[in-house]
Amino acid sequence: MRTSRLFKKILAIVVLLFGITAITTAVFSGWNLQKHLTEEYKSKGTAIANSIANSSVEILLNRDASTLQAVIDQFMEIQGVSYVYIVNEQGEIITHTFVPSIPEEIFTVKGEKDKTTIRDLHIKGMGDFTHISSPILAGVAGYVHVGMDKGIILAQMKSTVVSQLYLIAIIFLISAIGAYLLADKVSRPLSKLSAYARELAPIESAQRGDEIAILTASMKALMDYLQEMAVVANRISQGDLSLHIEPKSRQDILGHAFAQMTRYIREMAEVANKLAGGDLTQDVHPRSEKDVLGVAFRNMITQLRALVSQIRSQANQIAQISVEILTRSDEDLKTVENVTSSAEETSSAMSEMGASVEEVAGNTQTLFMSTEEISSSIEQMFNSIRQVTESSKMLSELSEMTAVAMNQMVFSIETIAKNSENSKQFYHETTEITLQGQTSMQQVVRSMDKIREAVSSATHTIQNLENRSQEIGSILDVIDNIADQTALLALNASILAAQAGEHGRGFAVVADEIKDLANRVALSTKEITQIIEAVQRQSADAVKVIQEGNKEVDEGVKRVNLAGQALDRITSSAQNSLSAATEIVQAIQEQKASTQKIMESVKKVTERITEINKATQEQEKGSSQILHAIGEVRGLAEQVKRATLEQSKGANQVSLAMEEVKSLISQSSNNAQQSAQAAAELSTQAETLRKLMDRFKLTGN
Amino acid sequence: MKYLLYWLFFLIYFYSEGVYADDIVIGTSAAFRGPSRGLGIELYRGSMAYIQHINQEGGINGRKILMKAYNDGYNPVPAIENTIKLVEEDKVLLLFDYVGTPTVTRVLPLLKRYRNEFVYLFFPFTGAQPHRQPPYDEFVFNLRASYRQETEGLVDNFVKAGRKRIAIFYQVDAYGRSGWDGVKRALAKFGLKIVGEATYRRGAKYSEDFKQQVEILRKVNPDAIISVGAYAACAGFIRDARDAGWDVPIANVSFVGSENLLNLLLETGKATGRDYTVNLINSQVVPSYEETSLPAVKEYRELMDRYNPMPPKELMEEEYKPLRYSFVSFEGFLNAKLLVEILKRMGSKPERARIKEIVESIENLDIGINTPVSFGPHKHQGLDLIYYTTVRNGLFVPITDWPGREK
Repeated sequence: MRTSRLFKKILAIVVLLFGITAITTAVFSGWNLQKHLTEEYKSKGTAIANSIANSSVEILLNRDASTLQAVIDQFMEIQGVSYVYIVNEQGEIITHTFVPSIPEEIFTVKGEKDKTTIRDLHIKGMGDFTHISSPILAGVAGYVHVGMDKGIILAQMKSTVVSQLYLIAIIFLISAIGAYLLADKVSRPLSKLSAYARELAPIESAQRGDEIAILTASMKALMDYLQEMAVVANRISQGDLSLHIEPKSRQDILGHAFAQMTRYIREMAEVANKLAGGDLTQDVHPRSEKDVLGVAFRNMITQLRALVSQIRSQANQIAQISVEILTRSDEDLKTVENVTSSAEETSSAMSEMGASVEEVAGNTQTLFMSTEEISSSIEQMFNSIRQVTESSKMLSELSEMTAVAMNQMVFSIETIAKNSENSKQFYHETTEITLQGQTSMQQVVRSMDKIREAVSSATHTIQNLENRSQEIGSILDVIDNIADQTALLALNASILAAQAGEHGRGFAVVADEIKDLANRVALSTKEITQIIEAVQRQSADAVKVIQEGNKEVDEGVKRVNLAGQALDRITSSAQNSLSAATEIVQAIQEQKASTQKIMESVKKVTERITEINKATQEQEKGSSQILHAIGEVRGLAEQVKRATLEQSKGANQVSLAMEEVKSLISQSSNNAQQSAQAAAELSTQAETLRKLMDRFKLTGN
Repeated sequence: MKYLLYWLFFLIYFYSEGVYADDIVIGTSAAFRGPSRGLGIELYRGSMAYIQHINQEGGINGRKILMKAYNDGYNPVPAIENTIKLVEEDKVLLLFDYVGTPTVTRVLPLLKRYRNEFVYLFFPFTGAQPHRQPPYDEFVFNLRASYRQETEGLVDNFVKAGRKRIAIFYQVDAYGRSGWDGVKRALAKFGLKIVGEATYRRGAKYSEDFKQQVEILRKVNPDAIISVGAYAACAGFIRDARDAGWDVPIANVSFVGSENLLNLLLETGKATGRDYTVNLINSQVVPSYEETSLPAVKEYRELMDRYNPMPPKELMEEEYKPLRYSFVSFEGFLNAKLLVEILKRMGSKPERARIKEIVESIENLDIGINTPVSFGPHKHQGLDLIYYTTVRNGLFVPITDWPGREK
C-alpha cells in the first residue's frame, strides 16, 4: 500500500516526540537509579564494615581465623559485596575472600583510625569498587575493608534503561500502528480523490504536499481548467474556429472533445468553401450515421454531381445536333448550286418547265417557311438553355447559403451532446467523492475530539498525581519534625548519659543509635522530598507537553474544518458546473433548430433542381421539333428533285422561267446561308453551355 | 475379657511409642551431592557399616540405631536448616558425622542456642579450630586430630627436610582459613612466613582451570605447597601444576578425601600418560586401612564388604561409584564404633542431658587401632595422631623419607 503523505507527517512528529520522551526518561531513570544504588551500596558497605568491625573484636582477640573467615563469608552472600578482608594491627591481612589471590591494589589502601572511610578503587582484572574501611577498636585491633561492586550498579542501570526503552518502544509501536490505521483511514479516500483530481488537472510538482494540499491545488487547477474550457466553448459558439486547443493530458476528455469538434467544423467549412468554388471532387466521410452534417454534405455532393453530369450530356447532344444541322445546310447549298448549273445547262428546256418552276417556286416558299420554323425552334431552345443557366446560378447561390448556414452550426454536433453528458456524469462523480471526503473529515474531527478527551483525562490524572505527591510532602514534613525532635531527645539523652557516667554508657549507645536513626530518617525524608519534587516537576512538564499536544489537536481540527469547507466549495462548484453543462445541452437543442433551417434550404435546392429538369425536358421537345423540321426539309428536296426531272422534258419552258429561277435560287441560297449561320450560332451556344458545365469537376482527373 | 482389654492397651501403648520410642535416632547433615559428595557419602558408608552390624546383632539394649541424613551440599545455610529440622522435628538424640568446616562453623551458634536441650555434635569431619576452642568447644566432641596438628606436622617435616619456603593453596572459606592459620602458626615457630598464597572458591569442579593459581604460586618459587581444600579442586590444582612441568611437593590435609583425589589423578594420568602422583603427600588422622594387623581395620574391611551400605537414594542424585575402602569411610567406621560405645554406656534410656557426663568419663577406651581414646571435661578430642602417606604404584603408603631440597 502507498504510504500516505499525511500519515508520514504525523508519524514523523510522533516518532520525534516519542524518541525524545523515551530517551530522556530512560536516561533520567538510569541516572536516578545509579545515584540511588551508589548511595545504597555506600550505606550498605558502611553498615557491613561497621558491623564486622564491631562484632569481630572478640574473635580477633581469640585469634580464631576460621571463625573470622566464616563471619566475613556470610557477608559475601549479600548482593553487591565483592570482597571483604580484615587487616590486623600490624597491617597483615588475616582473613580475606579474594580468588585466586590478593590483588596488589589492596596493599595501597589504609584505613583511618577515627572514622569509616569510603573511596573508589580500581582493581586490575576485577573492575571498579566502592571501598569502605572501618576501624576495629579505633584501629587498635585493625581494620575491616569491604568492596562493593560498581559493575553491578552499572549493569542494573543498563538493564533498567534498556527495559524501559523496550517498554516505551513497544508502546510506541502500538501507538504508531494505531496512528497509521487512523491516518490511513482518513487519507485513503483523500489520496484517492487527490489522485483523481491530479489526473484531471495536473498540478505543478512544486505544489505537492500532503493529500489535502494536493486536493486543494488540484481542485483549483480543475476550476481554472473548466473556466478555460468555458472560454473555448464560448469562442466556438461565436463561430471562431481560429483557436488552437491543446489537450492537457490523455485524461483531458473535454479538451480532446473541443479539439475534435473544432477540427471537424473546420473540415466541413473547407468542404463547403470548395463546393462554392465548384470543386465537386471531394469525398465527405460522415463520422457515423448520426453525423447529420456529414451525411447532408455527402448527399448534397452526390446530388450536385449527378445534376452537373446530366446537364453536361445534354449540352453535348445539343452540340452534336448543331453540327449535324450545319452539315445539312452545307449539303443544301451544294444541292442549290447543282440545281443552278442544271438550270443553266437546260436553259433550252426552260420554257417547257414553266409549270414545274412555278411548282418549285411554291415548294421553295414552303422550304423558306420550314426554315423559319427551325429558327423559331432554335430560339425556343436558347430560351430553355438560358433558363438552365439561371437555375444553375440559383443553385450555386443556394449552395453558398447552405455553407453559411453550416458555418453557423457550431453547436449542432452529436459529440457535443455526448461530451456534455460525459461531463455531467463526471460532475456527479465529483460530488459523490466530495461527499465521501466530507464524511471522512467528520470522522477525523470525531477522532480528534476523542484524542482531546483522552489528553484531558491524562492531564487530570497527572494533576491528581501532583496532589498526591503534595500530600506525601506534607506527611514527610511531619516525619521530618518527628526526626528532628527525636534527634533533640537523643541529644538530651546523651547529655544525661554523660552525666550518669559509667552507668550511663549503655544508655549513651542507645541514644547514639536513636540519633543515628533520626538522622537516617531525616536523610531519607530529604531524599523522598527530592524525589517527589522531581515527580512534581516531571508531571508539570508532562502537563505542558500534553497541553502542547492539545494545541496540535486543535490546529488539526481547524485544518480539517478548512479542508471540509474546501470540499463544500468543490461540491457547489461541481453543482454549478452541472448547471452549466445543462445549459450546454439546451444550447445544443437550439442548434438542432438551426439544422432544421438548413434542411429547408436544401429542400429549396431540390425544388430548383426539379425546375432544371423541367427546363431540360422542354429543351428535348425543342430538339425533336428541329429534327422534325429537318425531315420536312429533306422531303421537300426530294420533291424538288422530282420536279426538276419533269422540267428536263419541257426545256423551252425552262429558259423562259430561267431568270425567275435564278433569282429564286439566289434567294434560297441566301436562305441556306442564313440557316447555316443560325446553325453555327447554335453550335457556339451549345459550346458555351458545355464550357459552362465543364466548370463543375466531377472526378479527380 | 479383662485380660484382653489389658492386652489391647498394651498394644496401643507399644504402637504409639512405636518405632520411634524404640529406635535410637541420630542425625547428620553432610554433602551427598555436589563436588564434595565423595566425603559425605564415604563417611556415611563407613559409619553405617558398623551401625548396620550393631543393628543386625540386636541393637543397643534391644534398640536399633536409626540415622536421619540430610544433604547440605557443603554449604552453610542448608547445614543450619538441616540442623534445626533434626533437632526440632526429628528430635534426634545427638548430631553425628557432619562434614566440613564452613558448615560446622556456622552450626556452632545453633548448638549454643540449644544448650538447654543438650544438643551435642559428635565427631564432625573437620579439623578446624572453632569447635575445638571456646566458646563452642563444650558442644562438640571430636575424634580426629585438628588441622593445626596436621599442618604443624607437615610444616615440621618440610622444614626438617630443608624446604623452608612454603606456599599455600587453599579454599577461601573457614576451612581453608583454618589450614592457612595452622601453616602460618607452624611457620612462625621457625621464624618463617608463608611465601605465597593462592585461593579458590568452594564448590570448584575438577574440570575447572587452576592454571592461574599455579602461575601465582610458581612466581614465588616455593619449596613446598600445602594444599587445604576439597578433592576436586586440589586434584585440579595438582593436574595443572604437573601439566606445567612443575613437580614441587604438594601436601594435602586429611579432609581432602585421599582416594577421591587419587582416583581423579590416576584417571587423568591414564588419559595423558603422565604420572600426577609424584611428590604427592597426604596427611591422615586415622591409620591406613591397609594395616590389617589392626583389629579395627580387619573388622572395617569385613563389615564394608558384607554390607557395602549406601546413603538413601533420595539424597543422591548424581551417579557415584563408591570406594571399596577409604580413609574417609574408615574414619566414619571409627566414629560409629566410638558412638556405639557411648550409647551402650547410656543404658536403656538414653537422655541428652547425660551425654556430656558420660562421654567426658571415657578413659583409655580401645577402639581397635592400638591407640586408646580418652575424653575429659576439657578434652573433647579423642585422638591426636597424624599419619603421613604418599603414593606408590597408585596406592597410599606410609611415607618413609620426606623429599629433600634438590637444589
